Amino acid sequence: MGRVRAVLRDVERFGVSPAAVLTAGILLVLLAHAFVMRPGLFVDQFVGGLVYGMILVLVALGLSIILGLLGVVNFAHGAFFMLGAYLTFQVVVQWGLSFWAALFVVPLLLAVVGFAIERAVLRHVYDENPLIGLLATFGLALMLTEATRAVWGGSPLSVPTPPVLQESLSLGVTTIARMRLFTVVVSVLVVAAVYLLIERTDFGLSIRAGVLDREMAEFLGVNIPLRFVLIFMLGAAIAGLGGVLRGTELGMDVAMGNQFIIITFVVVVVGGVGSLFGSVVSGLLIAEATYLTPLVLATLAETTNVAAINVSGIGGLMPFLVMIVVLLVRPRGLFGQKGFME
Amino acid sequence: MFPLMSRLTRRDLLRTAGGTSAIGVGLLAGCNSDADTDTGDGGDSGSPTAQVTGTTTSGPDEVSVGVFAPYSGPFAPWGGSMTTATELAKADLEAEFDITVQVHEYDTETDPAAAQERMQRAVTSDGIDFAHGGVSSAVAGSIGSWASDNGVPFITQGASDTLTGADCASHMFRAYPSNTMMARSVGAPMADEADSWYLLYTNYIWGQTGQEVIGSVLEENGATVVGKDAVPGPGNQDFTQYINNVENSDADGVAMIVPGLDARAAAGQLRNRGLDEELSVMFHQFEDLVMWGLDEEAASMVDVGPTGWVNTVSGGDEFKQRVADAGETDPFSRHYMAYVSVDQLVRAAMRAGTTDGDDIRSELEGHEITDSPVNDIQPDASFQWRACDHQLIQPTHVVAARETSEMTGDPYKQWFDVTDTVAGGDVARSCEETGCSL
Amino acid sequence: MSGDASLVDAAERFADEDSRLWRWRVPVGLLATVVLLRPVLGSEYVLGYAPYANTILVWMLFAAAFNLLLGYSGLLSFGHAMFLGLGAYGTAAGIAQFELPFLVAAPIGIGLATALAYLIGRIIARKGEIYFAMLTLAFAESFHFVANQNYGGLTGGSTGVTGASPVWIESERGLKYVVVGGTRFDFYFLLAAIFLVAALSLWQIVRSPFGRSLVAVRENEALARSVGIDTRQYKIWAFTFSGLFAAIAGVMFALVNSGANLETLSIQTSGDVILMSVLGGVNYFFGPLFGVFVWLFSESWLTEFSTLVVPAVQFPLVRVDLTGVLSYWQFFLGFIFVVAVLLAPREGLWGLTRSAVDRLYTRLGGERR
Repeated sequence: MGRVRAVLRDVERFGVSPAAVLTAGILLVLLAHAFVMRPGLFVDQFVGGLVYGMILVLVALGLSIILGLLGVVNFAHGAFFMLGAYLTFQVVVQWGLSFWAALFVVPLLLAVVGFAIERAVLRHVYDENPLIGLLATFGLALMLTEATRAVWGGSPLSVPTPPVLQESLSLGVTTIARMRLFTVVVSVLVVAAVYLLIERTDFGLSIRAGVLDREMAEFLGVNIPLRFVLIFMLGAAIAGLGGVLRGTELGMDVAMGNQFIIITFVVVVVGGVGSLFGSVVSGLLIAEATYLTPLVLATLAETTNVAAINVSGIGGLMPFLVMIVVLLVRPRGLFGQKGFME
Repeated sequence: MFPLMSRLTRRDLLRTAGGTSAIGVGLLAGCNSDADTDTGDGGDSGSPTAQVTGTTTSGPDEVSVGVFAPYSGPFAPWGGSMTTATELAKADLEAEFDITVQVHEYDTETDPAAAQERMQRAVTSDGIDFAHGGVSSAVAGSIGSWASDNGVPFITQGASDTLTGADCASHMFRAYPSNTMMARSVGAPMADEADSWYLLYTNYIWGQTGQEVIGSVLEENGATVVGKDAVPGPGNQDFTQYINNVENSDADGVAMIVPGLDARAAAGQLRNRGLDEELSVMFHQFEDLVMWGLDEEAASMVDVGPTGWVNTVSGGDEFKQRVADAGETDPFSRHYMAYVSVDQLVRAAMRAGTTDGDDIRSELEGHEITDSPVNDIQPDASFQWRACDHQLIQPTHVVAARETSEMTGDPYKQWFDVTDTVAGGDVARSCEETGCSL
Repeated sequence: MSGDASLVDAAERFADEDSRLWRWRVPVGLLATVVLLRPVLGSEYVLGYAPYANTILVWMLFAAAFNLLLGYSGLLSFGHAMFLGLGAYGTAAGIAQFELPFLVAAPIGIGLATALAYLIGRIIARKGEIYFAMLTLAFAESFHFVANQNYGGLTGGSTGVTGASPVWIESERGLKYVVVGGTRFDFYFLLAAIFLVAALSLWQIVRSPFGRSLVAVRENEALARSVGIDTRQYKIWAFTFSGLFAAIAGVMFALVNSGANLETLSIQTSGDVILMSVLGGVNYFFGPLFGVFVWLFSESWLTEFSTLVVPAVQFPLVRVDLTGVLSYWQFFLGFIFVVAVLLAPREGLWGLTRSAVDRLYTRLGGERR
């Protein structure tokens, strides 16, 4: 008993509470149990979760940038995403360009849209209560959704997948659809690029300075309004890129914007508002929770013979459950910064 | 003010056949020379002036039917077909009976709440006499319940057992064979196809009741259910983790109890994983429209599927041709079901000699269809609106995909063949089994 | 002109902030709303569909309850639909599944919702704005999930609970009547009575010291705390009351729709009430009610509007075919919403109307209020 207490004391010195250790332990046991019972499926779902997670990260990245660097709660982000998908349809199906062309054209178009919105609406809300920005972009999202419905109709649409990205790729232990794998690759590249931009360039440095102390930065000659516009355009472009990939993979419909803004917000909030790294971690965490929880529950139900444990369709609720748990334990999300958006 | 101005009401204008209605607005809004209907206490009279009640021997001169179809949302491609078929039935009925059939369209959006709102308005404000539609069982249940509370006959196409079972309603009838009817028809063929099955079902009433009955039917026929997953929807496109489950199980076959465009997405993803070659694939309540949106190669994955009707069922060539000529979609089950619904509603009104909801309902209950174009569409079949649960007892078919080389597009797409036809009475639940008390 | 002077006098007396008449503005306004709503909507030139007034009353109460949280306490909730849904499901399931009388089922539904509001409030009261909002969303989604699972057949899954009508309501082709003790009157009056009682109670809460403290908390929380107000408790109670009245709106919903459906628990509903309240103006008690009216009226009126003929059908000078354009009414209302948020975020349409009326009144010679 004394040894256990000594171990706990050591752990506490790392700033981790016994409750956290216990929870982590239980989770590990459950995961190991699931792995032991269904190893092939576990690997499939684990990898699938990582893939889905990177997709979420890509979509959430734009929102996280705008939220973290501009302090604006961009509710229209889901609409940008959806617009990206629909513009892909327009570019590929109606105008006959290739998917690869769309990959470049559509984010550019979205950047233009972002520019228009920033100039028209957002520059009025930077210094206001964040709720104002939230509500204004909420209205914008509604307008964009209706406009999309007006132009392309209320029926779901789809885009043909380029031949090289059809079918699946076998990775030995598991198979992944090529289109999804491509999305992961793009996502990783974009995350890396954004990280480098923010952390390693002067441009990024000046923006971070502007966020910390806008007046001072402007006093020193940094053109903050210009940088804000550029960042918003970047966020919109990334959302559009996500839309291209998603629209090609799974099609699109007018409800897509609303569906995605919710999950994107959850990812960003769980990661902690203002932290890009947090968004990446939370995206992966939520995706894994979505993919692995049904498996864990199913294997647990098998072992304990309590069928009720295997709640059907729990995967869809996991992002919200994760958010509740995380926010209760760490009120600012995983890596949130104090005083941000409070 | 303007003595020549007649009192023009919104309702009158909406009722003019076809075309746009013109509404005088604003400046003359207050002008009302003759006030022979009540506008003072809120104008709550919902009965249209065109509704003729009374027992003339030839029946009503004009009937008004509401079409409740998904014109947007996850079942959007299905909506147009219901309208097309309604128009066809309307033309036939008007020619035969010398009546006017007014058609009002309402978008259900595949959302039970929105659909019920529209039904309320359709009855109260637009004054429809009866309605048909409801592709989604959830929508059907919600509309049907309200319609019954308010005395409006409604023929639905939703297939969940509950609609003529635990949730049956006094004025709701169902044209499409029930989940049980379809499952019992396909049980033996499925068991022949594969010994072990994985069930993927969409997590709403149709999928939930569907998987229950398919599971038990499989067991009865000596096959096993290795696992099952509830997938989100309707309106879900991502099946990755569920296909993972299927692939990792020992199942030899996968039962897709997934509707509409979700099924199309799932089929595409199955093909991407190459599972369509490895496994036997079954689509519950199969609709060719799902596969027409992909291609012949994908369509060939369908090994077995029960359905209410396909365009390769023998008979009704003229009907099929007319549907194909109408231009929108090639003939499939919804055309047939919608045609039957409208045809039967109007004929019941003619027999009853009135548009009163209760009288129409009585005429439908127990009625056997013998003298209608429906009999030409399926010549050797028997049709009866069973009184105990309002299910139309009609044949159920089991289909399978043709060889890709035999799939033709002329004069309309025929990609699937009927491998088995079962009389409705042989597979329907008995009246006691349904749990319906009407 | 003398007639005008006395009119101005009377109006001045009414407008005088300290006058007794002004204190009664909200109850009078509510009464006027209830009395006028149905005839106006039922009129042939407006909608010709009087029962729509039922839906509007439900949403008005829901928005007023929501505004207790947003307008008066400054807390944004993304998941308010859960209380509407709980009230609706509690009543509907109670009547349909357990065959309880309405007067038992409804309080159970309201009680459940209130209890849950209190509990959830306790959990999330201390969180920052955006986290508070997201957590309400998470809880609402959880309830939506549970309702869809249809445990024990209680909630009817995706179809919802249908046919749950109290025995004393009769329904004939969409028109409902209350049949009690030999009398038979239009269902609208019952609904109006419930609405009036609930809305007036809400108004009382807002006017009370509790309500005023809420405003203090909203304006400057640190200052409020320094004066000794337990802000966390106040927020919890605001949340609880808001949930309670939203649940009453849910009960009304169950009566109007003879049941409950998943839509009442959906994000769509939560989003709609935010839109309507902010559009109307969160600074005013009547703001959200006005927003509800504008939104729902537009939805009904504009979607069926096809051709605009000026100046009259008989003498058309200009014919504008608007079929299709106006079915995208949400675009235009969204635009108005964005403009309102940018220009006068808390004023909304009601606030703008009031200031316009004020300016007109001053221009006509009355004293500036």
